[in-house]
Amino acid sequence: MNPLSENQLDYLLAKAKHDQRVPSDELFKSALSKYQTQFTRRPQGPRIAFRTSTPAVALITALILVVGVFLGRVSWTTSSHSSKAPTLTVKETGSCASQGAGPVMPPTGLGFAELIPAKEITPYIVRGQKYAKQ
Amino acid sequence: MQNNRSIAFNCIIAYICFCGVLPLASASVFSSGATWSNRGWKCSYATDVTPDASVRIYSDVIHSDGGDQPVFHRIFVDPSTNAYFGYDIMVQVTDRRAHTAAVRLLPLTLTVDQVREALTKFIVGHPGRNIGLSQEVLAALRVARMPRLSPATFSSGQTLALNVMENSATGQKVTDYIKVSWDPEPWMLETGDVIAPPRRDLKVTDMTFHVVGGIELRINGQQIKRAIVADDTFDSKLLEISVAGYGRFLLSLDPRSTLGFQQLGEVRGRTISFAKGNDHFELRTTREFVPVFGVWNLYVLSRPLSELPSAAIDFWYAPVSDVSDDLK
Repeated sequence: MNPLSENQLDYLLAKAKHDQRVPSDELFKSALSKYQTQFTRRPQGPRIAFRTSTPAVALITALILVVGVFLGRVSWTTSSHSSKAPTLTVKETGSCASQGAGPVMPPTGLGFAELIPAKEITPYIVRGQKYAKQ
Repeated sequence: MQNNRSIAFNCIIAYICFCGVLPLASASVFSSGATWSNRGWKCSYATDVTPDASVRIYSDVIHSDGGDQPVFHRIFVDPSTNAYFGYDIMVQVTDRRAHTAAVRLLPLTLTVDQVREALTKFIVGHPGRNIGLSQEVLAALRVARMPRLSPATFSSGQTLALNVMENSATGQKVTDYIKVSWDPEPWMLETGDVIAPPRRDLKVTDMTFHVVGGIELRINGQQIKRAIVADDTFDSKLLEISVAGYGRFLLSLDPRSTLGFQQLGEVRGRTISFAKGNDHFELRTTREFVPVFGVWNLYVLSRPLSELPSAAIDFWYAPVSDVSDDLK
């Protein structure tokens, strides 16, 4: 049996799929052969641009992480900045909604010793100061 | 060797971006969230520290429902000293049909036991989550200095700012932004927490923008800094975007042609894009803006924006419940 052209093969496979039928053994073998051939060609694609095992890269990466941790800029604490706080209710009945995943507290940071609760609070309206309607 | 130099340069650039630019660009909000009262009133908050710093203060909002007059309680706990303070937000409904209310801020009325009970419920309900509050902290909970609040009455829908903590020596300051609005969730119709409206057919005018975790804006590819927004998760039929130097835009899924809206863009997954003049605006959020498969027309009404002369280029967004209110 002559090998099928790609167009013939695609057509038959599509038709078989459409008709919910399994292609005959010969067609299936031919299709398998085609796709195996394609598969074996894939590794011949573009070469990876750089080698991650280069000692200089490893050294620089380690340096970045060490310096970053020392400077406190690479840390787990920033995750709390985007976290959503939980919601609670004091009442015994009814329901309340919860929004987001809840906060994750940083292991270190400022507390009331550094950020002193205000003696007196004067609330003010934010909206309208900068973005007042005309 | 040349390749190594290039990699080293890229790593240095990546380091600068990762360690320097991102923290500076990120909001200094260290806590945000919202809760709903039984009557559909929502209290949302965002708390930021300036200059940006790591803060280990636990912050939350809880509520007590006293009939039609819900009270929200803002609480701040320092786990390292077991101390807490806070304030109350009292909501007095002024118009049940228009869903407007007067908002008053008062000293915290919860007792230590009530605060402990509420926070214990959360810890028990969320095992395995590190929120910095242990049973030991709660057992030793004590009141820090409670602030006095200047008497004032505000309207629902306004974003209020409160300078709740500061350090005069370092210049650091913590500002709490809060907003109270009537914004019931669909599940409240099942629990009977809100009065159900008459049943009818769903229309395009019922479709809402779904915003979760805030919005990012790019204009002509450039990211715009976001102003502090108390409410960063909501559903709204109209979305307001105000950008200093560009104007104010009301976004709608409904054509609203009689009101002057124009079809200027589209909604595609987590992205809203539209063009105004030569400027291309792109908004992104963390979930699909419209949780229905498809690409949807976006209708925009642009308005002028008055702003302070020294206003930096940043943007503000907010849900808008009633377009007629907004066009006044």
